[in-house]
Amino acid sequence: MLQGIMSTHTNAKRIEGLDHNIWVALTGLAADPSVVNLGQGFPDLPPPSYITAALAKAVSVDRMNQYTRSFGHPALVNALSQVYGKVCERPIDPLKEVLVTVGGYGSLFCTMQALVEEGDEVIIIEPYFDCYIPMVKMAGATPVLISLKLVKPNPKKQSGLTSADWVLDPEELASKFTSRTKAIIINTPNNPTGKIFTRDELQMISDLCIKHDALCFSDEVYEWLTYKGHQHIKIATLPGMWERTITIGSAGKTFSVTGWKLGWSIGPEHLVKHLQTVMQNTIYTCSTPLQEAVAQGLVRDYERLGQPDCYFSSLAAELEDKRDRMAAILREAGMNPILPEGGYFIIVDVTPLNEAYDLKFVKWMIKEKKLAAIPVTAFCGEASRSRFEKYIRLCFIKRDETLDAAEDIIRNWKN
Amino acid sequence: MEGTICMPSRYGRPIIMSRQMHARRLEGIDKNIWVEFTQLAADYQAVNLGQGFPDFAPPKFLQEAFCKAVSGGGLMHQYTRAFGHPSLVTILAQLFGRLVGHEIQPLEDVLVTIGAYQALFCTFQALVDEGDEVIIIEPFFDCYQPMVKMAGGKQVYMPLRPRGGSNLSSGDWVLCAEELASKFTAKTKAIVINTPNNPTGKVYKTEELQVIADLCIKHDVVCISDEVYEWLTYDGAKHVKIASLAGMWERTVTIGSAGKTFSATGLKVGWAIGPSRLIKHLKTVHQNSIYHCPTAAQVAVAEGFQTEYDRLGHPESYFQQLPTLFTHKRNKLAACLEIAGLRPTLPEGGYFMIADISSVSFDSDDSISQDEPLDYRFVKWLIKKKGLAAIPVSAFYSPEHGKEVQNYVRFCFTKEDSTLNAAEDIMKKWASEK
Repeated sequence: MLQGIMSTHTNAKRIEGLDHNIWVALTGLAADPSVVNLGQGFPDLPPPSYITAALAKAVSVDRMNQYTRSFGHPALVNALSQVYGKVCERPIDPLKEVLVTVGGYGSLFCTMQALVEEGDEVIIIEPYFDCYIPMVKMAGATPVLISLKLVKPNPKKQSGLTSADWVLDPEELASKFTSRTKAIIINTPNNPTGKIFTRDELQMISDLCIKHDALCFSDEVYEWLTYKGHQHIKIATLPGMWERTITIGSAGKTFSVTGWKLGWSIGPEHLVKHLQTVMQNTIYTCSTPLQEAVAQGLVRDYERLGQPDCYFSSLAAELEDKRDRMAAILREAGMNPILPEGGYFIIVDVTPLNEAYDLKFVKWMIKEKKLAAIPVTAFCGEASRSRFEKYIRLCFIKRDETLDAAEDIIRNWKN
Repeated sequence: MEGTICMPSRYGRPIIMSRQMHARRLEGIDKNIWVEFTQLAADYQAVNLGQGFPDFAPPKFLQEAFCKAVSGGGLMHQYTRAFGHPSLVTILAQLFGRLVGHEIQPLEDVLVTIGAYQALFCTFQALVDEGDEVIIIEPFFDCYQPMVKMAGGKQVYMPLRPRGGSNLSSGDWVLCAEELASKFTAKTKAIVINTPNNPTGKVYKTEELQVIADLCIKHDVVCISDEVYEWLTYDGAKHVKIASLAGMWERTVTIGSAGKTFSATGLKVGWAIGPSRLIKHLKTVHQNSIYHCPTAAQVAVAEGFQTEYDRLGHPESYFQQLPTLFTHKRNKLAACLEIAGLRPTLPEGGYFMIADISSVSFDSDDSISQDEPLDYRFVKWLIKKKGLAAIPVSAFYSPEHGKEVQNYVRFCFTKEDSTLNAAEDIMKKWASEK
């Protein structure tokens, strides 16, 4: 039996308090195969066959199994430059204005580590993708929260609530900007609400960024998933914003391959170069064959951009049906879901189910009803808990069989 | 104004960004030797013995495992367990538990990362605070220094030195025990060791690791052991895991790499193994930076390890065949360097050998700055004039000590025969011109 001195190795201060993570707890519970999992956001649909075929092909090429360029495989950064150059209507330098990262998550991390530090404030809009807060804290900065608020619906309005009914108060937003504000993080289409920020809303944010010389970190991983009548707008294309915006994208969300963990940051050289410095001191390079396959997928869909057989469009069309179906299932059970304008989540107030709220409710639901969701309080701060505790988030990028099973559970709830 | 950037605007008026945008943690870590030298090698289409990666195929069984995983359908392309795919952490725990002589819990004691590089990053970020001292043995894999700096730590350098005599083997590069002891202070948080060593190829012996272990225990220091080349030892040298020494499991983070294990550096799958007490902090960094590693690659690596575990120690094992193959390549390269008047140090392990260039004369022209260290000037000359790429060893030293050690150059020998033949031709031609 080995006996050593009792070690006193403590963790570094930068991670103090950041060990708790709701996903670790909830994914454990939802892993039970009998649970219908509408919780964690990943498709149980197959990815498009051409992308998995591209990966199989890349893996069998000898040199694709060795290191590639640190800041992004040449074929991939060229494809990204092409796609986003067209979408943004500006030339994008593949070597200087693009960084490939380990998922959109990795891009967020590189951005925070590169551009955020102690003494900075970072404005975050609630409800938010939960990692923003610990990443801001790990960078030593202070998160400043502002809530989207449900505008009182017009009583004459026939249709139900949508994510467009959740808005920022302009004066309240302006009040959050101080001399210490380094950046504001926006996520559009938004997880969990599905909100797509309008041009006016983005203009309001831009004006404040320019006025306060602040940066904008725009998480646009769901950029292609917009539903009829709605358009994704890139804040980086607004006047004065290219030079102060990092735009983040994700292969996982674009091609339904969340397990590939490839993403990218696009922005001006004077900002991206700092993200590149973080990359060369943290990961150094991402997987070569995965990058090669994503490059080929992008090239294929670039040729079809705007056409119905472009995966970006066909996936959105497929998901719109699922969105509508999910909304109908919830309405039939007496609930009033917030119809998302984009993304692949829907949030709903569970009060009509007459149960407890929040995490306690979700854990009970997983255990007793075999249906997994995520409590929306996972995406907000303590102070806003009461505003969001009635809501749960459901992921609808699922096969019909999964949605059938969910429908059965919800329809038979009262039994 | 410092940090002011004045951007031309499409709208007429310039856009002023008047503050420094980048975080101070990036200061002094933006330079990177690889960017410069890989570009140079590419520009001159040099025979590339610089960067460390094989230019031959990974073993078939691994490529097949990867293809099988990719065609696996179902959830093979979606998120897996954040801290490591179950089948991978299970086989890693099994294999390394056996090698270390300590039961390893797959879910508690193992973290899968994006290459060993990210495992190193997680370790420094998790355990090193502002003002903590970290002992780095030089010459060192270049990333340790900026990673310690980025974590706010203070680097304390401890040199390996060639002991007097012919110094023909990496085993002749040794640590002075008294000098090492003097580097440990009340502020020492960790020591980083790398065995087999990049760039020297040294394989630390049990006695040498014991000296380090005794100091770690005495001063309650964490040992970060980078063992990415663990399967590559030559001439009967034995790889010893410092975590297997008495009192060391509880204070050691051992890092490994699928890329180096399976000659597939583009896989970028690595791991950190240690007591859960330490690994849990690496997990916190991981979940707040990367969160998940790609699924299919992990499945492939797990299968690769299962195949090797089942034939461990047998002649068909890739872990037996690869070092045998590399021994020949090592010897071949050493011979052809000698032809040209370089004096190689024969490595006991790893991918690289260093060679003394003191006896070599070369005529560096105006295109190569005379201010640069001798080894940098030689490497640039070698690339530009002879079409052969290598890496200057002073890049693997601290700024302070790099000036003292300018006469070594590093070559990677884990290359196809045709690449080594091309290098040999260059050396022979150069020798005949003298």
